[in-house]
Amino acid sequence: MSRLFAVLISTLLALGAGNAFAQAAYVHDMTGTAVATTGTGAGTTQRALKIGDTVETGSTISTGDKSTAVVKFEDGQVMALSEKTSFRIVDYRFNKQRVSDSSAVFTLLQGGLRFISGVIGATNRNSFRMNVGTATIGIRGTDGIVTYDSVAQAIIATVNAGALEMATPQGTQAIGVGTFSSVSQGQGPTVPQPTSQATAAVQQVLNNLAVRAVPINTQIVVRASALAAAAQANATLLAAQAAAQPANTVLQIAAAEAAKQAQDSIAFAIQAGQQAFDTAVREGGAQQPAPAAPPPGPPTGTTGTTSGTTGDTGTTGSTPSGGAGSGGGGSGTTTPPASGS
Amino acid sequence: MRLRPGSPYTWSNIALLKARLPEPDREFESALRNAALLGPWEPAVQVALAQAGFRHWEALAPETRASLVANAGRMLRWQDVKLFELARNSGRLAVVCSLRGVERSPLARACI
Repeated sequence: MSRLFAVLISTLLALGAGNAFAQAAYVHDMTGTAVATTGTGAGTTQRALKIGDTVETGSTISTGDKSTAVVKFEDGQVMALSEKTSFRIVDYRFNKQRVSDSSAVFTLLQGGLRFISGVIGATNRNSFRMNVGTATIGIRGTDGIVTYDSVAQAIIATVNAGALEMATPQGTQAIGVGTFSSVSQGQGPTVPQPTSQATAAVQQVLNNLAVRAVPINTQIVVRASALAAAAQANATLLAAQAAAQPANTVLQIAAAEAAKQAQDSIAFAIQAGQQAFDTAVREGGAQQPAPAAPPPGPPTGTTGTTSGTTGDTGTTGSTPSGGAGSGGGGSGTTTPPASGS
Repeated sequence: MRLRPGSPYTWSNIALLKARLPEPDREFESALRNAALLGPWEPAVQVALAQAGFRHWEALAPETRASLVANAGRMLRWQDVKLFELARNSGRLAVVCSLRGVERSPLARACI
């Protein structure tokens, strides 16, 4: 079954390989409603988005009230949109044979978003540009947040990792980690201030965007990742339905099959992305993007207070089957292993 | 350490303390490897190893990294939520996403 599924995905990928209008990105996650608008004037088309849908360059993605969306691009770039946000993919071209010739140009029309740059930004930072009102934002790093109120024409940009450069006709400011700069109508960017000095309302908006779980910002094969995201969304839905109706055997079987299919498609998407990145490194000079900044909050890194690390009582947890015998943990009377201390 | 030289907790606590140093030293790496060797299936040791090891990943020797990858593989089976949290918080999601069998975790969507 899984082999059949892998063959199916491979066929789909092969069919899409020569498509001149290859998808730029896919909807990785979303809550509420979102639409994609393409074309102009009478040729404008609009479609409701769901997890796993793909979007092309030239599309405008808009989230509804109390809605969010996470969009991931082929080079690994991640855009996490907050509610009532409109964001246009102006020119996205990922040249895997020559990554430095790629382009990632976006426009934030309204609302707020967090962006985490991918391979394009890591390989040639000048390739990335975001237009926001009268300002142009360039990246000098990885992870940032931009909000734009199109009525008041107010822009706020902050940095979680790396640095940003915000330029308007009135001036330019480089923004570092943990600081923010704002632009009011007809003004240049303000001198960056610590984010902690922003108003409570601004801090709340920035925090809401920063805490959203985002996927890894490594290169993907859009079609494979889109299929995987859709498969997992389907599996999650069926699992919830199966849990609500435990006596429904058909539903239980369907949920189990969907879970298996989701696992297969995720495994395939991970593998396809890694292979695609290896090729882009070999043939296109691609660079590995720096990871996204950790979500805000108390650090879990090195507090030294991990429960159980003062243990040796044998009560810290069960030893899983298969693990017994492979370790020697316990109250130590054994000879210590090789030590540098 | 003299009292409990074979305790994985002794070594994992040393690793956690040493992880606070700006630059990891040889004792740090030894502590990581010893804790992994002595308590590979101890949940708290696994968490401590991931916490300390992910923090200084770039500076670790290949064999220490291999030991931590194996530790992450064991965590993936029983503590995948904690593993993903630690990886995300330390910018080491790539390490977890390259683990064999990562797709079995409901959190694996972070890897696509």
